[in-house]
Amino acid sequence: KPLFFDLAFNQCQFPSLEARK
Amino acid sequence: PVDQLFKELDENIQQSQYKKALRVFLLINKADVEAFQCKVICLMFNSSFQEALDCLKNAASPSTQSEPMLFEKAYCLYSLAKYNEALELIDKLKQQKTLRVQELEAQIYYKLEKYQKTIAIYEALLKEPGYQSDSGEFLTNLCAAYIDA
Ligand SMILES: [K+]
Repeated sequence: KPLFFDLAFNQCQFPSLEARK
Repeated sequence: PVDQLFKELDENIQQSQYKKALRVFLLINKADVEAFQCKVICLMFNSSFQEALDCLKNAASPSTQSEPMLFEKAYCLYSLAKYNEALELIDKLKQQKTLRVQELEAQIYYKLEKYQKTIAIYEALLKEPGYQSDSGEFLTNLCAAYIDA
């Protein structure tokens, strides 16, 4: 099988907590 | 105080200490939207996809049902190899399919060996000015779909 990356996982991101600290 | 908890949470996340971060959520109000979103992502980064999915399914707050969390939910289903359930969820997004949702959809079709569908989505992303389709990883996936098709 050719190499295939999980691109979608890189799109899972934490919301910014800057305003909450 | 709550801001101290968020500071601790942020530090744990920066250090990729997701299990430590998950203990902090126990001390924060369950209705806190940002804390809820963080918890889901922490579970996902900890590879606890079933737990993340359960968390999303039990979410009562309507604000957690917006597209960002639908994406996470679809991703959890994908990672648990529940490909058709993931596609059903994505179909609900129809008109408001963002670039990352299309990216996920293409991957699901690849796993289902529906390579022509993967190629169609990737070729559409190539034309999207807002999508970084010149990355090595994207082009590798596009090649993989062409090879398998
Ligand atoms: K592009």
